[in-house]
Amino acid sequence: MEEIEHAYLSIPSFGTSAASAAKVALQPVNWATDPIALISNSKPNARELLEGVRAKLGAHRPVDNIHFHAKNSASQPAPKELIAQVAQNYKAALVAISVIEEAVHRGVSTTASNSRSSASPPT
Amino acid sequence: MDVEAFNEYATEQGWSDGMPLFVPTEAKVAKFVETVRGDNRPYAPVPPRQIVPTMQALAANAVMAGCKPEYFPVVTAALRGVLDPDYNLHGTLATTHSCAPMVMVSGPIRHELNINCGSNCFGQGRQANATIGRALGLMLLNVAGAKPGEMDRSTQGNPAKFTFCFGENEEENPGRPITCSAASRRPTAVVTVMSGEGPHNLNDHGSTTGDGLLTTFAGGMANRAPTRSTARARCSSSSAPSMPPP
Repeated sequence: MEEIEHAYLSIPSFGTSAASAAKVALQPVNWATDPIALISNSKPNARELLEGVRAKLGAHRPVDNIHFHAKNSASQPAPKELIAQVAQNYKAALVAISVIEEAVHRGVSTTASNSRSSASPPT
Repeated sequence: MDVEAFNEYATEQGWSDGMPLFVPTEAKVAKFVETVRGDNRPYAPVPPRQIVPTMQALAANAVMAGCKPEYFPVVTAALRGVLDPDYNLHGTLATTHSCAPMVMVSGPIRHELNINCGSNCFGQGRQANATIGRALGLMLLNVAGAKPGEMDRSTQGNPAKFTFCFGENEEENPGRPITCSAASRRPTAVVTVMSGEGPHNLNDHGSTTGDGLLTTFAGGMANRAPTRSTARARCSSSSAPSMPPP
């Protein structure tokens, strides 16, 4: 393929990160002990799915530091306050249906789950 | 610049909507940027990627879409509209629903840019209709990051996501055109954006009375499979302010 000279092209995806989006390197999660947030997007059965996930995790580890959270509306992004709270207090987040991208940037591992998936077993 | 090579490259980069692209050379982009000189209002970070775009990046998408430079102020007005918090851009892009950004242009600029406001206005045939909507779609793909299967989680999609732009038929509107409800100074253009599905045509070749027509329309509205939502939607439309003076 002919070499494209970037100097002569404007990049259609170029932009700058929002000032507040400081990136943090992801840190490994200890699924056996670390605090985990279970976040529902408030659609039907999201909470039930997460309750099932918590129960399954409970067969392998303590669950007193695994807590439920929810955003008020499935059609709205998660409030910044919720994301900040999760990033500050948890090492990982399991989210029913959608992914909180900002949490990834702040060093919190996230896993998207759907109605047929379950949490990765702790190692 | 080899167009085929650029299209291959752009596809590899994820910049393409699947249709052939024009090459966004710096010279072309500069012509587009010139049309919005004087509009120094900053852009909010574009969700879900949360990137603040450069004017050159926005113009590159308009070039790629096949716009003429004079369309660019309408395109940027549409972008400002979807960035209005009431539009809920994050929700409309990341949703599993098949909604697309609809762009309606009002005011004298429709005729200046030859935007179709009448027969087949939702369809093919006019460069302005086709490329203004497409430019916005490419911005949402490349700047906002709404890539299908990644941040764009639409289960089935919608042809309107390629482009959905038309002009308000003010001349045949028995009510007040949108430009009359805008600021009293009667701007040259108002761009209204709404996140919606593609148009649904209601066709009645049998009725001869107003009652008959209304019955058909009401039945069509009632028979469409309703979209049940468990959450209260915050918004469905937003009007962008008129474009800055040249």
